[in-house]
Amino acid sequence: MKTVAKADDSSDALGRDNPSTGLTVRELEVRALVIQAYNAVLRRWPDPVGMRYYTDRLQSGAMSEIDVFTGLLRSEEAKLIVPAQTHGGDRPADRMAVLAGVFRAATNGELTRHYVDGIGRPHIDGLVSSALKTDFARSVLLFCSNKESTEGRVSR
Amino acid sequence: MSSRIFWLGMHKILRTTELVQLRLMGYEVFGPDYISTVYDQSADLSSQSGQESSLPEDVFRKLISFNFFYNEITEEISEILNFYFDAVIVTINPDWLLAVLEAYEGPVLYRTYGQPYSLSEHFNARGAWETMTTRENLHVIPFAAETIEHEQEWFRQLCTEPVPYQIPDDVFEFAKGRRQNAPRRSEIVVSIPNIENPYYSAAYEKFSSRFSEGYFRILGPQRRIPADPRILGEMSRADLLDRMSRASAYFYIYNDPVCYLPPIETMQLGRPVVFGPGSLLARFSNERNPGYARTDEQASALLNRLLKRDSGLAREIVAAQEPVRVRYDRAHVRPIFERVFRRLLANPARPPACEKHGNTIKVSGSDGPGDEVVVVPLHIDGLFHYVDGRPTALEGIPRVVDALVDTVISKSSAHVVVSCTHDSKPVIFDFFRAHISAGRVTIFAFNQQRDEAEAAFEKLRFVEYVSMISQNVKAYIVPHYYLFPEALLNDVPITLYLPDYFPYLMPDEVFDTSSEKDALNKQVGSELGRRATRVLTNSQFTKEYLPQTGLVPEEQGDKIVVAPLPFLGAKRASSLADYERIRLEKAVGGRPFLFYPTANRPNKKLTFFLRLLAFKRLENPELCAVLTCSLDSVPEVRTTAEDYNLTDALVMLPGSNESTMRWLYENTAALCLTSIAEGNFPPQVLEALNYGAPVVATRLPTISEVARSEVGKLLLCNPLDMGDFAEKLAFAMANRDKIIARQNELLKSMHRWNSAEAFATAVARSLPHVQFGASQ
Repeated sequence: MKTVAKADDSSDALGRDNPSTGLTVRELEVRALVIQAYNAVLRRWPDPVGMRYYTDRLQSGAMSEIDVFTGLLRSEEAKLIVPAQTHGGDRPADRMAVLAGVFRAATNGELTRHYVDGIGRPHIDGLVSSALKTDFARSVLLFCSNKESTEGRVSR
Repeated sequence: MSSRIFWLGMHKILRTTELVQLRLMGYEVFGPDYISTVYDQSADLSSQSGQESSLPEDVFRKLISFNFFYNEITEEISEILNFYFDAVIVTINPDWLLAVLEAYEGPVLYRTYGQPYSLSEHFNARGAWETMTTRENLHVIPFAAETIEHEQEWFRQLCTEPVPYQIPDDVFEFAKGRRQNAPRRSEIVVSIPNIENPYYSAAYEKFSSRFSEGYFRILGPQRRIPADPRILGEMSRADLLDRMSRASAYFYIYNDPVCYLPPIETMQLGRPVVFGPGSLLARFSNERNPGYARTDEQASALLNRLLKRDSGLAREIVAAQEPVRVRYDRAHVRPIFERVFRRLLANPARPPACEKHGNTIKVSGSDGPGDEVVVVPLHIDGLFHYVDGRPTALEGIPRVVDALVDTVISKSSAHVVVSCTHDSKPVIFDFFRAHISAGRVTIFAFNQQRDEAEAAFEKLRFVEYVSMISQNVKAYIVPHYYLFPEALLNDVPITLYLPDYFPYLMPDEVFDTSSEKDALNKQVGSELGRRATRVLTNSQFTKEYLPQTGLVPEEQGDKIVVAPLPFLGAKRASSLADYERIRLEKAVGGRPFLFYPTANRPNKKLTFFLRLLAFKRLENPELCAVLTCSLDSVPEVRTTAEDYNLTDALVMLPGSNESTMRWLYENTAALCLTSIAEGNFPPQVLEALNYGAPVVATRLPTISEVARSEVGKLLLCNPLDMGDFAEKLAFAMANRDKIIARQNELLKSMHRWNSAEAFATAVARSLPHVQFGASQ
């Protein structure tokens, strides 16, 4: 597997404390996915224990990318952040925001590539805010149109 | 050394029959004490601590003091069961079985005796389907083939040959020793034990409301006796047997498909038993049995004759019930019991029905998806359902999916993956059982979902799975234009099945919950239509208008493939069982009926159908109609039925299976198809032609397109023309044979045009990346 040097501006969770360690592309992708999942669900950076827990399982194949999102979403911490069902139906909408991230993870790890390649967050914010107001079919259509426009930009 | 068996039971008769016989066969059998607080009138409450056992004393003590009934099995007890026992036999209760399956890993034999509900439905409701179908060495031993007829296929596959059960030995002893000339009592005995129990309480109330005569004697132990002098309550076995042997008759009052032992004991004692429809006794014999009473009045008449010492009738009934008595006779039962139990206990090995890996379910030992995979998403509840335990496809798209999967399996070597919801796992498994067993179909089963977000996660999990095998996915058949938007998230060749698009044909109607939802549905359909490699439809008519709907880009019209539907019902239609036929005849009540099997959609014009029925009933008040839909999905249909006072003239049979459909076609006065728009040659017309039902239908372009020059052989009417329909219905009903002969001429041509081969050829064109002609 191709090995790349760890980027200088990587966070602790990406292994900055050990600059001599080379990480494979897959390892970078896995770490980026965990960071993305934590930010989407818990709105914070992963702690080292959480990072290790999920990266180990992702790398061993014991968990899929979606399992990471699902696991975080079902955590006690997520319950504190995501309002209860009784609060005017916000919970499904918040979950839709997470879904937007999952679409990306599920479809060829597109978002993780954004992190790895340092492209940033080109259209995720718009996708999330739209997903908040929409249902599954609309989210899919939105994802498809965003995907197409991104691909168009890249190819240009 | 003999095997050591754990026997989970408490029934006072089984402890004297089957438990004893197992010990006589040389097995060491441990039977626990019944120490549950749940009252059961059949439970033997005596202590079992005196039973012989080679178990260490402390283990024996732990087992005998543990409550195994309606209770979870603890880890410690579970370890004991696994360490000390070679097999577990569970009797009667499905929940006891589930507790054992949870705790014990070895062979489990589940002995059933008939209960008033479906065991498979009960297990499905408990979420136990997976536990049972993926379990090794699990055997169900029913006591009669008739008691599993209604069970679902997966459950019946777990069943061994039936092993009858026997009435207790004391009945035989009593029969031998009693005085032949003991005076008869002028009373009729019935059994209703434990009237506090909801089941028996309902039975008691029903019985009392219909049979108030004082000559009845109600047998069975009671906890608290209601104020009814006919209830005798608990009595000694000797008194009970004496009462039964001297009664004028025994009346079996239950109609559900189980049977308790008292009527059989009465038969062994030589007294006549009277019984009603639906009961297991009725199914053991038949309607011509002299003890059979079709109605309460007939039962009263028979019982009165027996009370008045009609010895001829009594002899006739006793002679006719002999084959039933023999079923439970120990001389008949014991050899079968010994043979089957010895075989199962010596060699309990049995592979599980299927294996589950992650979300996928396939037959044990098969390879699963290989190099060439066709994906068919079916993860919507309600597409398939059970009718009397038989898996059945809803009319419309699911039946076509059935034909598509058959075609792919028979004409290519591709493997098919079908998805399903958590709740539809059992029915999807049974529906595609033949293909799954052949290792050609794998199921991707969704997990349970508690809200919309979790439902979306599950869909994404499926997306991820298809992504994983995307290199091998040669076709993704999307069977509906908006129900599976997640298909857009995979980069695989899509074939969209699009038999019609009614919002284009009827722009003023709302088809989903709102016009906004219709618009969103169209967006999904358009995206799928644009992305699809091929669009599969069933008529040239639909192919021509689809590019104008926006669902298929105008410049891509040549990717639409027309596959005329073959006759779909034949494969799964068989003759009706007697009980099904009787039920249908009762529902229709011997009246002539019009038939229109269809969903209630705006294009079907069921309001017109109902007005037409009301009009025809003016001249023929007996005429009724059989429909297979709900009247409520188009609001004005329900009100029309009420306005025209048609409630009693409508027989609603939603979710009928193919065999029922066949009977309805064969017996209808006419198929009356009032739809004003169809995407293809209506399958109902093709079925009516095949089953010999006169057809009166709207003159639809999709009918003319297929029937071509022979279209005149059908009675076709102007759309929504009451006079035209009324006149042609009258003609069809008066000239049935002539009409059918004329239709048969058309049918010959239809066999050519709408053959399974023509369908398969077109399907192959719609799946360009799948290699056809390489069937295995």
